[in-house]
Amino acid sequence: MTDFININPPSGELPEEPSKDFPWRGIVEGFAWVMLLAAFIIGQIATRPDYESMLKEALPGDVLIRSEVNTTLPVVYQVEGSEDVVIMAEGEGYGGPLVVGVRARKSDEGGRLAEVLMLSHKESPAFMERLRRGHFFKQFGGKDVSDDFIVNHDIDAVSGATISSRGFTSTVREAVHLGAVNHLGLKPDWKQPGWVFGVEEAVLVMLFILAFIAGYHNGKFAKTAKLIVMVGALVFVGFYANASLSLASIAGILMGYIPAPQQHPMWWIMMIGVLGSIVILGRNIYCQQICPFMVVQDLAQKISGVKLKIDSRFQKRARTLIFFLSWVALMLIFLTAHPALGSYEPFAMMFSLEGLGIQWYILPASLLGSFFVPRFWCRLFCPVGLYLNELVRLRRRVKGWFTKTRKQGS
Amino acid sequence: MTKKRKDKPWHLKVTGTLSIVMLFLIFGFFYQSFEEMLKIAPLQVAIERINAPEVNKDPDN
Repeated sequence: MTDFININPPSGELPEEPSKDFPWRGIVEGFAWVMLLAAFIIGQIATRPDYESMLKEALPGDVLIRSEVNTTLPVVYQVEGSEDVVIMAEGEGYGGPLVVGVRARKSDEGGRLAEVLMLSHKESPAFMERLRRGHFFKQFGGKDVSDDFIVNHDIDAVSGATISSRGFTSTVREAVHLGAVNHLGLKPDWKQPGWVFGVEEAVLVMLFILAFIAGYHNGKFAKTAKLIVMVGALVFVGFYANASLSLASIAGILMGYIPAPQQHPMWWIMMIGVLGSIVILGRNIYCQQICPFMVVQDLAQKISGVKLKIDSRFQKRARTLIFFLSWVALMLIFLTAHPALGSYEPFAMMFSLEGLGIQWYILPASLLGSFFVPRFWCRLFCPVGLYLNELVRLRRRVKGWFTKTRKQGS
Repeated sequence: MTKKRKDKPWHLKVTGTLSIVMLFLIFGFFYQSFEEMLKIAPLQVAIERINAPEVNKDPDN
């Protein structure tokens, strides 16, 4: 049976608060928070692109006349001297908002999608590469404007980049159909996309249910459930969906990049499952069972059979180190307003085998560490684990405060 | 009575070395991201451009 290593110390043995004899701690922490806030504000102001200029630069031969005086997207432009319309719309990808410009051309059958321009996105380079290699974008060229533009219906998603595929498709759909109705005079007889709750979402819900059961019960069934969850996490959450939580996910939430539940139910299931386990059970089920990279590390450790112990003082220092690393990462993310740029974790690369530059070395180094030190990455470098454990700690404090208040009242 | 396991110095050395290597790599990643950040042009146009396949413009062919 799999040997489970709890990276959450048992109740009452959470790492001690750092000693208060360091006089500069408050100042350093305060400075770090101010810097983060400043980076966030600068990033929001400085990285706000002028999409109209971008669109005009992308179409240098055309004179675009804005049809409506909208301050928000979508915006429609008539192309002077032709019956073409260009529509610019915004949608949600995996990493954050994405903006597309589509050019619809009148034809005998109604209209045709003549050109699609992706003007801005927040996807990681690995995801974009996956979409390109999967020939995802080519599916849009020449499509009829009255097509449905629904993933897994008339557009094929690329596995491992499903949310990005859906986000791009729905943004193009919104733009194209707007142009088709308002400017090409077509009747909206296309299929409306419904909730995309399919097999993938059901599998993720099942994994969380099993993980909850395993968290509440002991015994043979609980052990079997844990084993099923771990295999499911590796195969499904990791290799199939590539949906590991990362610092980019946390930063995305902080920046308000929250996808619509109809479009990305998997994101919502993941968040509700992870936070629900903390609130209801008081346990970090994600790190203990759902995280696919944890399973990979356990496998590496099983293969080597070596279990080096981490010095307790070293482990305490590691907590501070992770806070510092995540602070640097968040600074980068906030300044660029691009969550993927600061996410230093090897998860996405592990399960997609797509990476850039030094990412190719971080993955093997973290796996090498796991050969010698159980859950090397989780215990010494993972920001997601640290923040989720902090939430567990907060939940215990709140619960303790409630219990104390109730006792005092009675 | 539970026996408290003593920390072995060589465990710390190996873990420390691996951690330092990882730290170098992570800071390398930050540097790489920082360079990427500087590269981002104020106008980054058409990250991906999809053109419809050329239709036959000549009705005789």
